[in-house]
Amino acid sequence: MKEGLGWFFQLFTGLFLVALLGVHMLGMHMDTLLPRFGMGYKDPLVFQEVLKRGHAPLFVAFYVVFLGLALYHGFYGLRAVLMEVWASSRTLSSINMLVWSLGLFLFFLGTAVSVGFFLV
Amino acid sequence: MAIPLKARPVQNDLGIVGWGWAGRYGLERYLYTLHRLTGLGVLFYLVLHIFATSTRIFGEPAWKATMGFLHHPAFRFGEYLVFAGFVFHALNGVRLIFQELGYLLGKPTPPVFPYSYGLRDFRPVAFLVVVLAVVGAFVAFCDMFLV
Repeated sequence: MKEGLGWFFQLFTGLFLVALLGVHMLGMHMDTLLPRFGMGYKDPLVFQEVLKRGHAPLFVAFYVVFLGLALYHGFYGLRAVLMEVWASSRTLSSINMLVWSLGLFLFFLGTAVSVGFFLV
Repeated sequence: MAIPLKARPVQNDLGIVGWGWAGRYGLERYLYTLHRLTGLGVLFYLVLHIFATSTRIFGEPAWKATMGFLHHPAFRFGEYLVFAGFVFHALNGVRLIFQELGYLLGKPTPPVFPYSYGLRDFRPVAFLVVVLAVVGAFVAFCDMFLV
């Protein structure tokens, strides 16, 4: 992938993540204050709630898109850090291979679990 | 006498140490360092989060066991750090995107003393990021530990 395009995606995914991760963090991790104002989930981690969300097609689609954007943004950032710390033409291909393989593995794991949970 | 030209650019040999100090850094440089640290922290949490939430596929007992394990105060504090780190990373990231697109940099001016320094002209924006991040971290602290 060309560096310019990769960097453009980094900015693009960053903007989306501000919104998506913001909603996720507020809804799932701030479960005390928000329900008092009629927002968010009261008990987001109770299994029945997890089951309900996991069987909603929109939530599953949201989760998979969110996962892809977050992994791209995170691993592109990690690649930039590693390239700065171990900058050389020899290490570049190893760094690329590491971030792509880890990122793809986690994406397929998260997607398989989401889709599998939706289907059971 | 001709000034000798360097054969190649000077490499950044300071590595990670250079993130902390390599001269007279301004506020924006420390925000850059914090941006990287919070980014790495959130990524580390994301990886753990994927594995932890994947246990739902094994049913309610596995899910309850995982959530029970993660309810330990140390993990709860880690979750708080991730939330605070995310708030800062998001706010500073938006500032950086604006800069990348040419905003919040100031207009180019001739190099006439006293010099204009684009980043310093927009330093209030950097301060605003810090203040909002502190407020966000405080609200999260209240939500997770006080209320």
